[in-house]
Amino acid sequence: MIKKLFYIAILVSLATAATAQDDTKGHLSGDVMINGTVYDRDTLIGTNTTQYLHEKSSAEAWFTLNYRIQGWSFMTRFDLYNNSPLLNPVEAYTNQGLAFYQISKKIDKWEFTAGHFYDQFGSGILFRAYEDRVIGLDYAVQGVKVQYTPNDSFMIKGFTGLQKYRFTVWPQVMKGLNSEKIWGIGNVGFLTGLGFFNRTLDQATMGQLASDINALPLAQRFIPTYNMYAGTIYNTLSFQGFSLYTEYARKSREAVFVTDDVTNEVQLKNLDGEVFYGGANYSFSGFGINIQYKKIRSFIMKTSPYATLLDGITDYLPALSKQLSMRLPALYSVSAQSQGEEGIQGEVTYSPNKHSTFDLNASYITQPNGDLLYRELYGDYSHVFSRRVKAEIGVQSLIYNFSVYEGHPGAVVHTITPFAEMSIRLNNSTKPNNGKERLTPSLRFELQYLSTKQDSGSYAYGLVELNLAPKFSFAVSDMYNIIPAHATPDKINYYSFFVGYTEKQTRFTIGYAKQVAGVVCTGGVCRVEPAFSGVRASLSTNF
Amino acid sequence: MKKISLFVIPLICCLAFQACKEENSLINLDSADQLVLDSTYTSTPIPTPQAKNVLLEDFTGVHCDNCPNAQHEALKIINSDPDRVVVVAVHSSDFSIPGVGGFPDFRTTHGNDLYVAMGNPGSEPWGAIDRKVLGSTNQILEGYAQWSALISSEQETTPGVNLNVISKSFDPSTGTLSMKVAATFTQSYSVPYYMSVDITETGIKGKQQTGDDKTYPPTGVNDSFTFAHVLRKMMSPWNGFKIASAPQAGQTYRVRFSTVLPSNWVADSCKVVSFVHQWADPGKKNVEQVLETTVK
Repeated sequence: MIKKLFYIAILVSLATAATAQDDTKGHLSGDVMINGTVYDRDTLIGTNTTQYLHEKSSAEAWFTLNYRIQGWSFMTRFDLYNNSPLLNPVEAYTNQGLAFYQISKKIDKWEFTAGHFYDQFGSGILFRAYEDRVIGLDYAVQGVKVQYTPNDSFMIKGFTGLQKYRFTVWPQVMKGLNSEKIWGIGNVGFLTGLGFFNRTLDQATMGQLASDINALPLAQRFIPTYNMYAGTIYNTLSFQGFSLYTEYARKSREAVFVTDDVTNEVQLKNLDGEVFYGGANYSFSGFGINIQYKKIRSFIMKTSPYATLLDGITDYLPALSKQLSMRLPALYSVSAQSQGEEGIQGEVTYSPNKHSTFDLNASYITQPNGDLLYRELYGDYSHVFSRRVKAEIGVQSLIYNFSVYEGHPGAVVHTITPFAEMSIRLNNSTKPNNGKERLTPSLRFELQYLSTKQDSGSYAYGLVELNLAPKFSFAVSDMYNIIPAHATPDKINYYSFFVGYTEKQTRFTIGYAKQVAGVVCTGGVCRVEPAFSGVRASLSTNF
Repeated sequence: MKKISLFVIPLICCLAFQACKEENSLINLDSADQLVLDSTYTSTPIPTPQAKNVLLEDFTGVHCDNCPNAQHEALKIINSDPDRVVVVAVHSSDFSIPGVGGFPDFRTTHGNDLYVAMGNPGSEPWGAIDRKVLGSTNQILEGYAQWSALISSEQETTPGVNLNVISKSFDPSTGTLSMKVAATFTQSYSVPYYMSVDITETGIKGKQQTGDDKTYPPTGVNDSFTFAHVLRKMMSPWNGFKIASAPQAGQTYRVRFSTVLPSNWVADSCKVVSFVHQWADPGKKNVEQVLETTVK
């Protein structure tokens, strides 16, 4: 019924726009993304999920439509998953239909939103509703939201609704309030925010919880609460090139499942939680320093205690590690541990001249009991030799608590990873060639070597990429298990071939790849994915 | 000033909501009344299913005019087949609030919660027959006119669980009752199963509001009404004690429990009602088998 009303509203608006004058003319925009995958079973690297055995191919697609007119905003998105492992790597999920719809209206200082929406309070530690398709996350809220912005220095907003789950919603009600005020003392500026969040369990979840609690030994039983309340206070202080962000969030007791990091045993406990997070930045000509500190004590924010893995998460805890895109340095990436951790990260960037830049980073994260979770030492040096040639070299050293981050037993991984990258532009001219668009060729090389005696052993990685900007891109790479630490002595090649074609805003890519099993992270949120072998194609555009 | 007031609204909400108290009777924290999964084992061969006994939960109240008629109907059904129908009279809803006039208070927290979980119809009498949707109304609760036919039909089904009392002891000097009940599955299931244990008492005299029916005169208030099968206590939470996540045919779950009967309960008139059931909310709550035994 709601969907029908939504479409009626869109059609009425479109009809209005078609007959309206300029000031009432609407603006239609959107984007499309289609992914297709064909699976090629490779027993050597352990591709044994259902797609390799049965379905053999999968697809995902998203088609988003936005329409704005006279303060109204309509948004809808069609999602498609055909035998897709995206939402759950070990599942072949098939469903399609309208997965997102939103109506929003601005009236003077007020903005009203109904349907699905994304939003966050402050840094997102208390509440964040967002989407990240790379690892199949869609934490949209379906409900209503109101924002009041009387002036540029003050805002208050509130919402109530249910978190989206695939094509339906979780039954637990969420509500939240957030206010922010910008103010100052002399040259020192402040942005101060307050947030409140409440989640109420439904009867079915409470009944399930009660059964599980009543099965515990008497000494471990507790009265679970339907409601979890949480609050946050955060502040950004800015003074010339210096800024300092601080946030403290706290939540009330509720039933949560926690995993014992030693035994991997899951226990049901009644825990409250808190987070302290601080980050300082200072920069002046050619020099920048960033330091972050975070302490988490059982700050598990989920719609339901029975939501597993990445399902049902209602907040975002930033990770204290350097976000890397290179294959081997990113092999052991980490996400924040909501059960508890304490960490510090520092990064210094120094550019003595316009040709050279040094980047040094150190991260150190421990469990609440002091055991080491993650330690990263990273340094790189990039140099621009000319307008055509630039290069980067660096090294990374890691200590990575495998069993905690990957969720199954394994020795702590120690790595040393030197890497180098070089880009060479083969032709500087971008002038049209006889009226035709000139293609600008360039080459890019990557060389990496990850040395470790743990997990699956050491890898060497090489990549050659030919770009014919702005249209074509070709790449060949291989990740070679040069000193394996498996029980089997096989030295496996994880090679890939890639072709990309861009026409204006539309981009098509296709490639054959073999990918090692492991953690895949995006924006500090990670999940463990099985090995991959097959062909991936993608088409994306916007209008 | 107005902006500051608006700014601190989230903070006020944090403080205000934290002060809210919740009620939750689902958790059994009473060390004296514990159901404990004593042992599990697999029986071979798989035992023959027992005859199906039927549980009738009669939701009733002392201020409910028609409830005596419902009790009369329940007694009539039991008398016609005394070994295969078990009745529990759950005094619940606003009709069970004693108020003034010396009406007895048979309410239990779990009984009220169960009434809500069964649909909270706001009226009485209603009966839940094996907690199943059996009639044409697409709901668990049925009026007493339908009970007899629905119970007869339900008795024809085959239970997926056999229930047996393994041991029982009662100490009259302390009122301590200890029992051990075995639930042996004769079918496999992929959903969780629960055991509930109720204690009922029959023969309690007290005031009951009555209607204009001739069954229990006088009309208005009967000062000496004989209450039957009154739910005195649920040993388990109202949604049961989980004994198995996905029981397989042949598996036996032995549950032991003990409780102390208060001195104002007549042990000779008390019975222990054990039953095994599903509990999905919303969803099936089907009772597979029920077993009634005397306290003494």
